[in-house]
Amino acid sequence: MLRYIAKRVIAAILTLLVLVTVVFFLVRLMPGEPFTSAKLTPVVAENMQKYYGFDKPLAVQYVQYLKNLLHGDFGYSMKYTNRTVNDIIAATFPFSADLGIRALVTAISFGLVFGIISALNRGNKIDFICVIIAIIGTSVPDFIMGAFLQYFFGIRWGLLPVAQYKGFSYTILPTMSLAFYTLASVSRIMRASMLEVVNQDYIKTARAKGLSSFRITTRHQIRNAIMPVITILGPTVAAVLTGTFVVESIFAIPGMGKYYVDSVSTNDYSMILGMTVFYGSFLVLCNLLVDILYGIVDPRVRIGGKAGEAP
Amino acid sequence: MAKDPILSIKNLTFSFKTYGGIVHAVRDVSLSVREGEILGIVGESGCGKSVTAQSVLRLNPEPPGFFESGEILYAGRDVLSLSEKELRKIRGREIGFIFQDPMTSLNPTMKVGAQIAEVFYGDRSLSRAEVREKVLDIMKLVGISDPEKRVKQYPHELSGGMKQRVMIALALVAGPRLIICDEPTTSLDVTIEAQILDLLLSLRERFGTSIILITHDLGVIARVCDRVLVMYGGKVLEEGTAEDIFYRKAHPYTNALLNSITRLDTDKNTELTPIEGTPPDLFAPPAGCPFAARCDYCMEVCREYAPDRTELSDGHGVSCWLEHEYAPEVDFDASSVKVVRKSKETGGEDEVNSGETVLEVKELSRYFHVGYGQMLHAVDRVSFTVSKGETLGLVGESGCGKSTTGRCITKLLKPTSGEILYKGRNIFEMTAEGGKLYRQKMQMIFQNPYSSLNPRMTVGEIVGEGMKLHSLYPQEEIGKKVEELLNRVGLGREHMSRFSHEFSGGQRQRIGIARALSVRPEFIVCDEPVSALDVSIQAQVINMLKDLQRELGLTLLFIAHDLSVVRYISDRIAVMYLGELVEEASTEELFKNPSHPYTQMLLSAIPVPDPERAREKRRIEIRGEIPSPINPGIGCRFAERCPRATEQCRSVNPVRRKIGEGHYAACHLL
Repeated sequence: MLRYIAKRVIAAILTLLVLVTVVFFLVRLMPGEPFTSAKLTPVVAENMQKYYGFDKPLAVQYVQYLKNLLHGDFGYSMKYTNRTVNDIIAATFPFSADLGIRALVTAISFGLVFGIISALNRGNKIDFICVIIAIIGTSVPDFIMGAFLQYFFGIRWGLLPVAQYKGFSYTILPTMSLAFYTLASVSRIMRASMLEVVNQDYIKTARAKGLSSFRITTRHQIRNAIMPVITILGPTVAAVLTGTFVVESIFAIPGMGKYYVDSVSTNDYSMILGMTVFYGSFLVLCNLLVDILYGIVDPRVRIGGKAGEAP
Repeated sequence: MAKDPILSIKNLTFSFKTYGGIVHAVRDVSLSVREGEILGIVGESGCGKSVTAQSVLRLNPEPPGFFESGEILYAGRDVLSLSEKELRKIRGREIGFIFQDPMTSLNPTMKVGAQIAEVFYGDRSLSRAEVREKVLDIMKLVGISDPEKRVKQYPHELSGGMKQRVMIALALVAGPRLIICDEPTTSLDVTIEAQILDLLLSLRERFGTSIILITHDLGVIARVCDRVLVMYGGKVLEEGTAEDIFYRKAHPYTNALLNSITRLDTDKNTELTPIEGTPPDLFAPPAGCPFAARCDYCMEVCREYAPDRTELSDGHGVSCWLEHEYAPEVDFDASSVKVVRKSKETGGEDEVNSGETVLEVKELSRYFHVGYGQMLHAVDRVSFTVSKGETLGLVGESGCGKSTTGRCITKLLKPTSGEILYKGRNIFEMTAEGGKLYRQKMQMIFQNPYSSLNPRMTVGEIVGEGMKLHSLYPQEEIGKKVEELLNRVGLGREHMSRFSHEFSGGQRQRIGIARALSVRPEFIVCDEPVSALDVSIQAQVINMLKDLQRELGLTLLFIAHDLSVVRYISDRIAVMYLGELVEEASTEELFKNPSHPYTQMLLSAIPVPDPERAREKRRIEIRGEIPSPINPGIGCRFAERCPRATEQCRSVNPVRRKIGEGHYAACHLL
């Protein structure tokens, strides 16, 4: 197990290095430059170029960037001239993280419950409703879902605030719109997996032991059915993360998403790079944790086993 | 045994509602089990034996299943009118159930001790310590060594035989009055099977437990059952004591079933007598006798009306029109004609052995890394030769490396060391062209006919693919050649456009054989080609393989664990144990004069389908199970289980020596 973890850690570091390299050179290929605003005189722009080291060869810049990265320094933003990328991340990440974690917890717990209820009621009305919800959830994009929720809960019924992030009641709608897709896919996978497990021989053994159906479901069915859900947790985290960009801007939440999106349109090189590396390391870490978790839940340590149906 | 029946089923009819219609799985079945009795239910797959057994505890899913009529009385209580709660008290506590496949019947995420203890879940009369005590006691009783350690293990940490013991412990722990075993030994090796059957017998002796044993293996029935029920097409065709069924059989199906099995004394020069055709479709079961369509003695009345049960003697009943007073007298033994096979050679077996050597395996080893510096020795320094036109049988328990050997020969695996020479040329040092030709001449027939055919390809495409690949025939002739091949294996032109899921297991295996033959091979590796098939179908496939071999002059490497089948088809036999070849001899010599203690143990474990002989047969004590092939010790690998092992056996691995004409063995004691 230790050796396995070490291997995964090395692979994760290599993945990040590739990510940094590719993104570093890709942003330079984007049309436009950071300092092309009409407000800047050519002289100022040139000074800015020099100040940020753009006059040096690309390779030197790259090496310098990697060196800074080793110290955890993402450099200065090119748009918010007095703030470092680190500052911006530090100020905005707590909002994004808060929203993301709420959404993940909601999605996984409700997704599992819906999937289980749906499977236990296979073929009847409850199952039908759950399946319909799951289909809507996986096919309606989160920005549309967000707008719907804002309209009904916020404007029509006036129950919940529609913007900003200043307390529990503010978190409900963004969490719902962000969680919905993941919730639906977790519930679909859990349902399918529960139905597969119920046909396994060991469920028959459990029935032949004289156990109640409650005990069979809780002790034998769910524990085994949950494996495929754990496998998709990695991609799920990614889905929630990318979802935050959109949801944050719909609900005017001061999270990282807005800065990330803005940085691309303003060619803020250091911001793009910094945020990408930050998100990248976060995702890689999540996937690593999922792999280790999988080994813990399944005593056979069948890593990379059956994947169920991915979303 | 005049005791009262503990369980009786009367006129049970159980069906399943499916999208395709109603499946009449069990029709009008009656049976009874007395205290301390072992009742066998024998029949081919789909005959309704499992459904009957599971309906006793109402384990069949309802819906789609439902009881159409009949009653089930357990200890005087009507099972069908019990509530779910009352049923739960009987399940596990009073009636234990053992399922076929121990690999899948235990929950992989729960420790085995907890799984056994769970039988007592919700029982407040027992303390934790008492339950633990009971679990440990029962594990010891069923022969699980070191139970304190085992209770904490997960199923995947145990071997197949050990898992089945856990299943038995689970069924027994509450001290049930009746145990229902559904094919308890089918997925186990013969040596383990013998141990498990002994265990069941001893349980009956000690606790007077009644047992219902469901199996398709008449050898198992002969060894342990007092009374036998023969089922077919959802109905009971014959019922009687084991002696009635084996010596005074009255139903043509019982007779056909007994004739179709390959026995240790089957004459190798006669053809096996399979039951032609396939079991009836239970969506629309025949109005008359279910066996009528395949019966040699079928009369007009058989197709129209179901026969009533006739009592031949006390407890021996048969449902057959032949028992009617107007029916003709039939003597099964006189009318069963043994077809003598045209002998494939004139000079007997010696001539075959002196033939030219086609395949030579020299010191073949194949190891697998399993991590942590551990090495799994799947095949270790195995050498043998195969001559042109002969059949070499490769036998051994599962995990002995026989399939890995076959895979190396077909170039599906690269050996770790050693050489494989085909007609004198090393198959791993061939040119691209030579390699392609080798792959054409060397074909394989796989064990599982359900997973070895591509479900997205039609039969015509499957069989024709190899011909196209090797451009054996012009494009326009391929269709005709495929048709010829299908005819040869007993299928027809109309099957070409169908997909493999539309065929039965036996038919699929024929398609697999046609596929192997499609590229005009010289050598075929058959990896357990009949072990997934019912006996009546096995005989069809074996007969066909033998005929094809004679007609096409094929050389066969026949890998199997069923020694009766191997004996019937092979000229010579090589016995493998834990990656090593322990004995090799001509078939007759090996069975007459088995020398290696392992071979002796294996032979003595074979179930004989003859109750008297099975019970008096003196068996060599079978110890333990095949150990792990990871980093094996330096001594003889069999030493741990060998009843005659000496100090030398434990420290020095014996080399292969010649002990007779064409007879080799690796043992210090010879």
